[in-house]
Amino acid sequence: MLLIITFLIYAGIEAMPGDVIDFLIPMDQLAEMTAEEIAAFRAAKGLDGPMIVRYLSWLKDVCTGNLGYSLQNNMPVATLMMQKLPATIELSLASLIISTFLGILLGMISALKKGKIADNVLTVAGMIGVAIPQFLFGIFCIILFSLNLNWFPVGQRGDGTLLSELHHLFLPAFALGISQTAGVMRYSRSSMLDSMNCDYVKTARAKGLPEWRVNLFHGFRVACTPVMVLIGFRLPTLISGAIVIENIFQWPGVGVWFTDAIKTQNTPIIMSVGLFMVLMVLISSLLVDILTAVLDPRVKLS
Amino acid sequence: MTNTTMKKTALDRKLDKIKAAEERGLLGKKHTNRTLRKLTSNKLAVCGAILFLVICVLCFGAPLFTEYSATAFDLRAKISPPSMEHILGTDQMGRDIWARILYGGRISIIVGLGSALGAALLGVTLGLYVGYKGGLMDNVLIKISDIFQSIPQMVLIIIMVALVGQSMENLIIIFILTGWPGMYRMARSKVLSLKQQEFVQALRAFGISDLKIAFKHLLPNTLGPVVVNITLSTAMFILQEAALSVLGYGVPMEIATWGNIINVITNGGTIRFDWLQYWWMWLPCSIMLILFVLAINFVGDGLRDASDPTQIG
Repeated sequence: MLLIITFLIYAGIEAMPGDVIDFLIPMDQLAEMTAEEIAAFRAAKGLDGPMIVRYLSWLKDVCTGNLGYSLQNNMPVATLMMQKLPATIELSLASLIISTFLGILLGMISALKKGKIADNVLTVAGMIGVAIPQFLFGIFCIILFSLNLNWFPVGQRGDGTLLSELHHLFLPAFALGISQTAGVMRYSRSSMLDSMNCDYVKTARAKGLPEWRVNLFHGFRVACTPVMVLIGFRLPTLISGAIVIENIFQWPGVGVWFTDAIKTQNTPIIMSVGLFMVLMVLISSLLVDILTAVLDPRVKLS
Repeated sequence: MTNTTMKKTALDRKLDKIKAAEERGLLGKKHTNRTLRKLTSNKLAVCGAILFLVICVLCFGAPLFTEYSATAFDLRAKISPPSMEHILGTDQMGRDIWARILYGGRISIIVGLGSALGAALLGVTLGLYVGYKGGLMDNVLIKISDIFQSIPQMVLIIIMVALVGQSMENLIIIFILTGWPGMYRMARSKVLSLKQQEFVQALRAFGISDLKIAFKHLLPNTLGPVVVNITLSTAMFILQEAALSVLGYGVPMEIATWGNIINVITNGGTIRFDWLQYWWMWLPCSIMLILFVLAINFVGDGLRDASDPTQIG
C-alpha cells in the first residue's frame, strides 16, 4: 500500500509540466550551458535515467534510512525535516489540545443544558464556526491581534525559552484549534446526548450518585469513544490543515516547506513529506483502534 | 362485539372520523412525502434553502443586479469606498466589488456543486453496481479508495493541481477525483446491507438483471445519505476552493471567484494591518461565502434529520 502511494506520487511529480533544471539554474546561466554540461549536472543531481530506475533507487535509499538531498541546496532532507517537523508537531498538538478540550467541554455543556439558552447559543456558534473558512479566521486573527493590537508576533518561532515559544505559538495554534473546535463540539454533544439516554445512566442516577458523578463517570466516559475516534482521524488532517494556517502565518513548518517544494519540483522533499503523511494516517488509525479498546470495555482488541 | 362498539372512546371517534374522510377520498392529497414534510417543518432548513436559492439567483442572474463587469479595469476609480455608483466600492484595479462577488459566486458555486455532484455520480454509480456485483472489481476499487483516503486531501489536491495546471475545469476534476472514494464507500456499505434483504433476493429470483436491480431498486434506498453528503461536500469544496486560492493553487487569479476576491487580503503573502480600513474589499465577500456555506449546511442537516428513520417527527 505504502509502495503504491509513493510510486503514484513519484510518477505524479515526474509528470508535472516544466523541467526541474529550470528551477535550479538561473535563466541566463542555463542559456550559456552546453547540452553536455546540462547532462552532467543532471547526472550529479541524480536526475538522469528512466523514472522507474530513479524511483527504485529512491526506495532503496529510504529503506536504508537515507531520505535523499534537497535539490535546491544539497542539504540532507532528513536534517531539514528535523528542523521543520518540531514546528509543525508543536502547532498541531497545541491546536489539537485546544480543540479537544474546548470542543468536549462546550459539547458537554450544551448536551447537559439541552434546549436551554446556553445550548442554543453554542449550537448556532458551532454552525457559524463550521462555515467560517480556516484561513479567513487566521487572517482575521493576524490583522486584529498581531498587526493592530500587537499582542502576538507572527512569522517566526520562539527563541528557545518556553515563554517566548508559547508566545509565538499561541496565535496560529489558536486559529487552527478554534476552527476545529466546532466539529468536535457538535460531535461530542450528540454522542453525550446518546449516552445520557442510556439505561445505565438512569441506573447510576437511581443509585443516588451525585449528578456530576453520573455525568462525568457514566455519561461522559462512553460519550468519549466516538469523540476520540473523530480526533484520531483528525490527526493526519491536522498536518494538512496546518498547510493553510502555516502558509498564512508563515510558520516555518512542514506545510510551508511542502508547498515551496511543490512550486520548485523538489522531488526528494515532496516524497519525504508524502511518505511521512501517509505514515501518519496509518499510525493514527492504529491509535484509534487502541484508544477505542481502552475507552470502551465492549470492544476487544483482536 | 357489540359491547365494544357501544362504548366509543375519544380515540375511536377520531379514528372513525379519519376512516370516513378516507372513504370519501378527502385524505388522498395529504399523503405527501414524509421526508419532505419533515424537512419543511424544520425552520432552519427552510431558511437555509431560501438563502441558498437567493444567493444562486443573485449569482446566476448577475447581469440583472449589476451593470458592471467583474473583470473590467477602471483605474480612475481604484480603491474607492462604497458609494451610490459602486455599491460595495472597488478594488485596487478599479473593479466593482459587488459585480465581482456575484460573478465570482457563479464560479465558486459551479465548482462546489459541480464537484459534489460529479463525485456523487462517480462514487454512487460505482458503489451501487460494483458493490452489488462484488468480486475482483470491488476489491480493486476498495483498495484504490483506500489509497486515495490515506493521503491527506489537501496534499493530494495540491499535488494534482501542480500536475494538471490551474483552471476551473481542472479544479472540478480534481475535487471529483478526491471526493469520490467517500461516496463510493457510503453507497457500497449501504448496498452490502441491502443485498441480504428479501426484496433483493426476490428480485434476483425473478431473473431481473443486475443493472436494473442496482439502479432501479437499490438506488432509491441509498439516496437519502447521498443527498446529505452532496450538500455537505458542496460546502466543503467551496471552502477548499477558497483555501486553495489563498495558497495560490486555486482558480487562476484573473478569474473572479470568492476565494480569489478574499485573497486580496493576503496580497501575495504579506498581510497589512490597514486592511481593516479597506473592509469593503474582502468583508462583504467573506460574509457572502460564510452565508452560503451556512445555508448549505442548514439544508444538509435538515435533510439528514428528515431522512433518518430513527428520528420520529
